[in-house]
Amino acid sequence: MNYKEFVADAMMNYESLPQETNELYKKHSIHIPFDLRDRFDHSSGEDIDAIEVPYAMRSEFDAVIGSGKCILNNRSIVTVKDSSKLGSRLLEDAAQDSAEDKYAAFINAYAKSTLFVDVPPGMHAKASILFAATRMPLNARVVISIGKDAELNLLELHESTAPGTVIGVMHETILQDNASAEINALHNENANTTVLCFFKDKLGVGANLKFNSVYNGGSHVRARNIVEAGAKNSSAEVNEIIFGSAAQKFDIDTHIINAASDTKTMLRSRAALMGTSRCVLKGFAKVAHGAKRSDSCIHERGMLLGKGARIDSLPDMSVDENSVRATHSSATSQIDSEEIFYLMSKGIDGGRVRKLIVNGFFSGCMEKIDNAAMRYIAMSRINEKLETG
Amino acid sequence: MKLEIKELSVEVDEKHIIDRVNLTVKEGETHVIMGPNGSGKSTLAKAIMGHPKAKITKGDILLDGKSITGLSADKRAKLGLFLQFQNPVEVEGVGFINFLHSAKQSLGNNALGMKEFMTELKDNISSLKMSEDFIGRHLNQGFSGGEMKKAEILQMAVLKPKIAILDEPDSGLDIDAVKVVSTKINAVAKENNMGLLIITHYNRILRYINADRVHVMVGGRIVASGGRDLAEKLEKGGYEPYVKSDAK
Repeated sequence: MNYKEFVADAMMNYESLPQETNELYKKHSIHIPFDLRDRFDHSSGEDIDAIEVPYAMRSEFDAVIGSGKCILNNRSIVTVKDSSKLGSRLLEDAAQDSAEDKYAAFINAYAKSTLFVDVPPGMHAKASILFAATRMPLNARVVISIGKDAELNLLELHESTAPGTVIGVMHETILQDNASAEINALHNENANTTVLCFFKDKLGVGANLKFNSVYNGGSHVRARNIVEAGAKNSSAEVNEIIFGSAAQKFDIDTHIINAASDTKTMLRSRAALMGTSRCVLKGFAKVAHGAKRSDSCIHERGMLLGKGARIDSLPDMSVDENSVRATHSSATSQIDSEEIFYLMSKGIDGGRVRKLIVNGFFSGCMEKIDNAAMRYIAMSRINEKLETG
Repeated sequence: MKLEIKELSVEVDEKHIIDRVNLTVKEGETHVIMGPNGSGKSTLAKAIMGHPKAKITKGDILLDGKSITGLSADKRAKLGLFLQFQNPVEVEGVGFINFLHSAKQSLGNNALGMKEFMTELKDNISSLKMSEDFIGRHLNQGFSGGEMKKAEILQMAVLKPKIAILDEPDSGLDIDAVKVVSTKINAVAKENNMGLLIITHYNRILRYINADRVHVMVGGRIVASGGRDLAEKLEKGGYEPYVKSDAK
């Protein structure tokens, strides 16, 4: 099978993913107006010198990824390999096996380079990665492997400057027993970029994962996240912040799964939209049979800042075990005119009032993020966008 | 500074609420508006401050002779007006300090450093007998009724307006708290030669605040005005005679 056939095959697999076949969610899927097959079939990687990232910025990250190329500033835990030279089973205890898992097959076909963030047992590490799509599509696969009792706090910044490009990042995160990780992804691509995000994890006993995403950039953003607390006493928390303007479109589908006893999962989503932007929040919680004493919660909230903006919030649950706590809630409303009047009556101008209210609305999610740089950069970018409309 | 309300009529959601009200409040003066529930007192306060739903159908509101009816609420505040809300809205996730510092800066104190601001804030918190942990909380979120009133007066003390409209500063407060809040209002008003327009149902706050003029509002109109003795008369006889007279 050549690469083109492999991609086509993977696309068929992708379209049969459970997230793509859910009838309710299918109805609310946002169409991405380009041929994925065509976009994925680029033959040459971008030269490293062509990555238009300021040198000062390059050096501040442990790794800077261009389209198929990479600068590594810290090789102690971050390495990169050509995906085509890797087998379908990457790690001994891989999260996915592409022979069985259609999702993994799609990842394998899609990404030309694979970045490894490997934290040995017992080590506490921090890492930062800049994904910079400057001229060509940037497709990267990120495998995060955290050893027993180890900790990782990872900051990813996703940027693009090229018009009409695609930035796609696949995450596979494996936490061994009692490991913990905070994975932070800030999407700040330009307004002509299509953004594709995938996340899947495997947690060991007592492992603790926090996955925070801020979707601020891109013209079309499609996220497919499957976050599973699959071993006893493991926990997984997902915090999603979506801030849209103009005609941006976000299709955010996150599944949280309790697959073992005494597990905890939580999905918090906050979306605020200006202009005529649109967002579909598809939070799905599954509590599997045998996941006794587990706890699952979805909390989706939306705020409309423009009359043409629209948020569809579709939390759903499937519970196959009795002795569990499973809740979900969702609410979307226009920005409160009484709040605006209250703040303005104290002398604060309209622009600053919107900033205060939007920052306050996101704070419920933002304050859950431990990484201070992520919080600071995310709020700065959101506020810049608020000011420019 | 002089606030003048001339022949003001206001409607909310196409319902006529305020009817040809005339009132003048000068700096250093204290005016009190009393009246039964639903008489239009709070609507008048909101109309003065520029609430978008309070639509002025007739008349004018002037500050130092200039009409302010075309100005947004923040611009009115910048000219020196302040509204203490009867029921302040909760603003999710906005820290009280962050909010008040933003307001203070917006009112022309851009150079005010956080340290100086905090010193001023803590002094005022102390005089209002509030707990210092209050400043770490979100704006009006989870505040008790008393805390909300005190928080509004705290804002007034920090923002130092020229004319303050206080919409029921005493409701929901216990006896001791009324005294504390009233003492603070007196001190801030005296220090800044502030004009006060106080809306209240009860005479009790007037035990601590000296009113220059008392007005009775019924059915959207000011139906009587007088000195402090008018408030005492209302305490004894209630609003019923005025309501009956207005109905005729």
